[in-house]
Amino acid sequence: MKYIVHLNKFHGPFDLLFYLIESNEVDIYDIPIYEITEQYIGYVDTLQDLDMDVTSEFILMASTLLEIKSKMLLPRKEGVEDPREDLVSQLLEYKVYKSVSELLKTKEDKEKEFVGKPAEEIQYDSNFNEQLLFEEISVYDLMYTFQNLLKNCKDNEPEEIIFEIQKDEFTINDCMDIINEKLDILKKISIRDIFSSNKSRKFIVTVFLSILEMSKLKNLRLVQDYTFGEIYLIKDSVS
Amino acid sequence: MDKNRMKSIIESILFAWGEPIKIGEISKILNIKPSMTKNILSEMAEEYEAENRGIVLKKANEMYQLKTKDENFTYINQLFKPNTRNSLSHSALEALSIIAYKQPVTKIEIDQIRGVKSDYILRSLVDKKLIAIKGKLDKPGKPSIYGTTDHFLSHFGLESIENLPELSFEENIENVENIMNESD
Repeated sequence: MKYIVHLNKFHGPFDLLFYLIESNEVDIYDIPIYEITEQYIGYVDTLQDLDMDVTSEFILMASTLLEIKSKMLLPRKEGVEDPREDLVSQLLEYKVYKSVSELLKTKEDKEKEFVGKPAEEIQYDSNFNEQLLFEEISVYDLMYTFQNLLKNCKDNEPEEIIFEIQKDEFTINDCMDIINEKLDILKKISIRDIFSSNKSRKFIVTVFLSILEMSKLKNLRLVQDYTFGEIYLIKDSVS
Repeated sequence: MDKNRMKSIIESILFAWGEPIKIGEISKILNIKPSMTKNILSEMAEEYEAENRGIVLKKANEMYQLKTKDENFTYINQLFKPNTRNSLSHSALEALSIIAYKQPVTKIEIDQIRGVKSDYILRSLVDKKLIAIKGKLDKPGKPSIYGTTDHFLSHFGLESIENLPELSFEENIENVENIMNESD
């Protein structure tokens, strides 16, 4: 379990790799790729055994190391670059920023010793007269005010509330009956004709809803001769 | 208005405002030139220093803020509740260092150097106002480019971005090249 302490502090594959190189005291320019790869994969395995979240970046680095390891085994031609070169320069770049971040850390800690205040919310009353003048108010004033409030409360006690329920002047069923009757006589009626008898908003809405209802029930069909033309109701032959 | 009066007004402004305030803002209030404001501010900073006052005038780029003296921290600290002044995480500092030196920089460049994805860290740094999106790169995907803010400078006590500690980077790269050449 002593691993956990170490593992927790690695912030990425480079961090881990760096730790391995430093703890093995090897030359960064001549990394013994075999040992380092073994150790690296060992650590990643431990991470997984401990059920820690091993991010894909750690796995990617493991495969990069394996690739370099296999390339190192092959005989190299003159002038071909060292397979470790890319990794080393990446590691060195990382090292630079890692050390800078440590430097920034000390700067941050130092700067914390200078204490500044967060912004104040500065507000002022634009109208001075509205300010409360507490000097002239006595306890009795408060008492009277409170009593008055209580009295008002009693006076305003809610009376019985009476709701009036309005009777439906037209129901959809009524309208459907009316339309059916008319259709029985006339076979074909224009929508405008139906509405013409009563122009109240309630009537129009009810009739409109009943027409929709009837067409849904297939009691009637709606036809139109041309776009934006007059709409006619026709008794559906099916029903 | 004489200089001492202006100094007094500026001191009141800095005290009342608390947070860093821009030179331009102060100049507007006093209706004087920014160069004049700057002049007075640096005189004030010198005076605080010379008179051994308990406050210092901190500068970060174009922003000024009154803060307490670092020498007195152990005393002021007794007023604070523990752990209210949280520091940045190791990973956040790494990402921040890369941005500070390489700005303007894309997320991908940061990821490459760190070897890990930095999405979450960048978002929290933006939230903390230490970095900001400075624009979009005219490349496929229009990646955002990040840079540090004035708040970053004041967080680390830097007067300007030029005050960052120098990188030993060039030296390192040269070393790599030399050694690689030798091994060949």
